[in-house]
Amino acid sequence: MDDYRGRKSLDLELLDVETKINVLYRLVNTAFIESMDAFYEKDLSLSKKIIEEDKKINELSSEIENLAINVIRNQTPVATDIRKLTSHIFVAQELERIGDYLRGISRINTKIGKEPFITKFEKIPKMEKVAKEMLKMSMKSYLNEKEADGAVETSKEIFSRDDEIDNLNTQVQQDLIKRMSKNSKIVKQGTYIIWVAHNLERISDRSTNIAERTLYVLTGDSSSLIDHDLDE
Amino acid sequence: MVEKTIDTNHNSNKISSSENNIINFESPVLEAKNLNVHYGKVLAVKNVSIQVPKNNVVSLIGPSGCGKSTLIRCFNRMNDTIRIAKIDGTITYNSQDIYQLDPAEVRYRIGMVFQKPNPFPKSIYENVAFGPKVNGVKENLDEIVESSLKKADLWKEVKDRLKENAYGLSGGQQQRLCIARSLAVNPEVILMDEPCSALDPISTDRIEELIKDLSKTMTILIVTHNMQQAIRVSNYAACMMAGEERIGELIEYGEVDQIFGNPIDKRTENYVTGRIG
Repeated sequence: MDDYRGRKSLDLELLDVETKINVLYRLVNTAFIESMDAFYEKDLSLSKKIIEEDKKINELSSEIENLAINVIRNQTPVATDIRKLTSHIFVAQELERIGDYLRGISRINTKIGKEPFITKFEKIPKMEKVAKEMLKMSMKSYLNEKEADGAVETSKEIFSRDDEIDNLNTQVQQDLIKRMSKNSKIVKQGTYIIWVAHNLERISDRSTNIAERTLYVLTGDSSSLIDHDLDE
Repeated sequence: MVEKTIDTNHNSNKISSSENNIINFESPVLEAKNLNVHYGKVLAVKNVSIQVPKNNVVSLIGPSGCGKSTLIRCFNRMNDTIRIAKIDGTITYNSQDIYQLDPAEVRYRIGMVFQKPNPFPKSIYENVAFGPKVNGVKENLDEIVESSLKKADLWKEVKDRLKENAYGLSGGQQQRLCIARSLAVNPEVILMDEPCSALDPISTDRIEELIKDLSKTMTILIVTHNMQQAIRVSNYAACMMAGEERIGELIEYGEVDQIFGNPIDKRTENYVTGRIG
């Protein structure tokens, strides 16, 4: 392997795309923290700021997509390189969609407004915690993992947490539907809160997709890539 | 992802990938077993065993100086013409040892096209008719010339100027003429040593289309430095590598999807992604 000389321009361009993916993840993560804080605290101005700033997430996602396409065009990558680049496009889109779910939660907050909550939140903070952990684990693994074995372990953990969040979401829905059927006055807000839980559940699905994408980059096997959208 | 280009021909006679990342086939048309090639005292290619399946395109890839051309030239005894070349191991064509066959017969059955087009300084017609004539064919030469030029996708361009000197053709046309010249003696295999490296993109595309078309009825072993070309035209790819002692070895041989999508050997990955070579 003495002849190994790297491929400087491609490696630099790959690093550039990866760095931007990392920045996108940081933006989404901040939006996640702020949107849930704004929700519990009824901080409507913060929610409006998140809705407005979702544009930045969308723009950066498009930028990453264009950049990755340019690298593919300029460098004609194969093997791990092309798996990374196509996955960067995919992951940027997943993060952008997570941004959309957070914007959705912020919109719901502005719609509920200052009206007192109809429920004490128990399961939604649990869902939030699990979804945040899943996003963090999947992105950490995607950006840093070099060995397939490590990615497999992380993915198993993420998949099990996905089941946990699905169960919590079902419980939130059932609880609220039961209460709404008895009290029509809470139907509007109850429906909004079901949407908040739904968005958290969708964020966890996107994190699961990212974990699967890590496996694909490291193993080249796309057979485990399941379209979670079909599960809805 | 990498797509297979020649599904219709894709030979399913593969047996398995052995431990050392080398695919095997039932009834290969060409086979080298434990092949060593020396130039004088210098060992150039070491212990190569490779099988080439019938009616497929196999690409030989690897860094410069790794022994690809040396290997490909063994299959039709072209190395016989190099006085200091010495070959150990066995090479079979349809299970027959090629050293038990007449070398001229071997080269009719296993034709060769080189990097630089090398037409004879004769007319277009004479270039194509040369092989059959040497072979003693006296009748139907016109038909042979026409059908060979048609197979090489050159007929329409030259049918009205067959008596003109081949040197008047463009580089891409000359290369197709050389392919037509090989086809005129009905080979079963064509060896191609970087056949497009001196050609422009359009001529390259025509040769690649020709390779895919020809592989419906014949076997093609092609040396190429162009990774995308190997992906486009071949069903299987073999990667060679020379280590510190500059001795060429076969390190991985498999379906083109695997070699360019997810190679097993790290050295193959480093080569196909452009990080060595």
